[in-house]
Amino acid sequence: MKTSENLLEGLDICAQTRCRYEQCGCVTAVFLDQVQLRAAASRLFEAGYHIEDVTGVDFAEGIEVIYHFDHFDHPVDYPARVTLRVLTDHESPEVPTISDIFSGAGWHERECFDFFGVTFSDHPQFRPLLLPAEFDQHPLLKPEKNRESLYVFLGACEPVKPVKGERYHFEASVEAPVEAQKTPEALASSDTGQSRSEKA
Amino acid sequence: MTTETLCGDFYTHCFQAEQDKEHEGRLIINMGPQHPSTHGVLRVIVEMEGEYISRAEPVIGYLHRMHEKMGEIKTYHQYMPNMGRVDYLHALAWNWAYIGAVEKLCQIEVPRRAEFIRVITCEMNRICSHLVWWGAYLLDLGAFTPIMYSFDDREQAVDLLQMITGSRLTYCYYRFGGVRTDINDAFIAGTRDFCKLMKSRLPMYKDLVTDNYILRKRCEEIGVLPLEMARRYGATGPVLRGSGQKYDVRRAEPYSVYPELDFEIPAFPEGDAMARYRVRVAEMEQSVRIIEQSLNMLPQGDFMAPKSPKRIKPPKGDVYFAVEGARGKIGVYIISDGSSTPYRLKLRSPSYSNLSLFAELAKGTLLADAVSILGSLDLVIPEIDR
Repeated sequence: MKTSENLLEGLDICAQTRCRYEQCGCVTAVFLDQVQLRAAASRLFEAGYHIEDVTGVDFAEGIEVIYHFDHFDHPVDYPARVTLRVLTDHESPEVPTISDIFSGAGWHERECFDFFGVTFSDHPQFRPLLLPAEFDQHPLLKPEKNRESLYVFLGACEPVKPVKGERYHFEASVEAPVEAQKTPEALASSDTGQSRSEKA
Repeated sequence: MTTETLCGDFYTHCFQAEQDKEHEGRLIINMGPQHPSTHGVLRVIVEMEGEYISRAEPVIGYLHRMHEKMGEIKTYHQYMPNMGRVDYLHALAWNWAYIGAVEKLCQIEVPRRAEFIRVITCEMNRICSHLVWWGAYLLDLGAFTPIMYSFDDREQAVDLLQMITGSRLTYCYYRFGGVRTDINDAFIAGTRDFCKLMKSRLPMYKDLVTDNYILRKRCEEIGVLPLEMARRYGATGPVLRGSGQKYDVRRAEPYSVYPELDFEIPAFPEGDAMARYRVRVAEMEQSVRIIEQSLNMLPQGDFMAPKSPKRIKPPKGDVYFAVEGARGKIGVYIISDGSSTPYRLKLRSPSYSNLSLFAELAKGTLLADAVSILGSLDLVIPEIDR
């Protein structure tokens, strides 16, 4: 059985939690360090995944870039929707591009730049897509007082599954280590895909 | 060549700057944004080598309305009418994607009757969407008559949908926990007649158009999309199934009562414009099948959950919900902070991914074939720009 854990094994996963597919629509969601993003995307590509979208969310700790992947065939014991999350800061938001791995990500990344101002390094055609070129604002960035902490949302997830290493030991609470601003910690949902397979 | 920079806008300049030194002097032209074959305001910059396209780049955003920002400002109820305006041809699928996401987030139960009503109306809307595409695509290719037939058929379906939803195009019919109004006997009888009509029409369309020699010349082996490339770009819907992959959200991620219904997922392995054409025509047949089954299985009961909340305040958390629209996988991703407006709302539109592969697909084709390829992708520009 090839589960999401096998798929992303060996990568420096900051944290992941359990969330049921019925509840949040994805079977695996992990927080990654930026340097691991391209490696994770390559693995997903080799495993036959396709890209659904790339989007951002503005949190107090920084801008979180979210990647959704899904599988066309998904055999019974295979996880379907996989979410990768990376965190980047507000001052100079930058994330490596995955548009050379998943060509479709190219447009989604450009859209993400339009809305959030996130730069995707080494993107071959990096220019505005949906918004006019002379428009210099990023409409989905929130005013500072409206930004919520990332950990507020993490707390809503079910038990955190700490992944190797003390650094990532993470308690799902609002009082979580906010000082660790630059290293994306934390979590999101995960399940082994079992509940999924029963349905399919 | 130094005069190029004097004309054109930002995108033309970028496109010119990317021109190879050895190709300098090749003609660069704009197709659109008001070109009739681009169905709305899509613009494609193409570099021509004689009659052939050596490079192409779609320019979008002319219809951008920032639905995602509106989602963050409006409450969950207030945002519903927006969904009918994202994709005006298959509005009910967008309704469903959004409503479904919120229902999943709030764990709202939907009565069985409402699920069947949703299936019936959504599939009728799918037929309408495919009929518009069918007529318009053939119009692009120079055949005028088919659009008259298709709009004639579509009129009946639209009248029926108007009877229960109150609108003809931009529906806002689904509610959290059900649908707005129950369907009545007149609608059921009318829908049965419509199914009968479609069953007699589709074979006629096959004789009239699908087997037509001229159409085949314009579609076969045009714009061949390999499956690997479709996956790389995240293409879904008939575009993907035209490359031979039997992937349909209704089966892959079953929602509502679709698992109980018996229908096929048409897929054709050729990958050309004709394969995409065949998929959509075959899908109309399947939709008719689904509607007929649903009408037969329609249970009595509530059309709206009696305990559906008046004010939506979902718990904190995120949810991704996908449905199969006429153009592919429609995804709505909501992050809720527990208040009455979403913290973040992301709309994943299928045409967006489907169009992004056009630049690669059009390379080396005739300009006239590019029109055929664009048509075969079934683009709805408001959905791309959102």
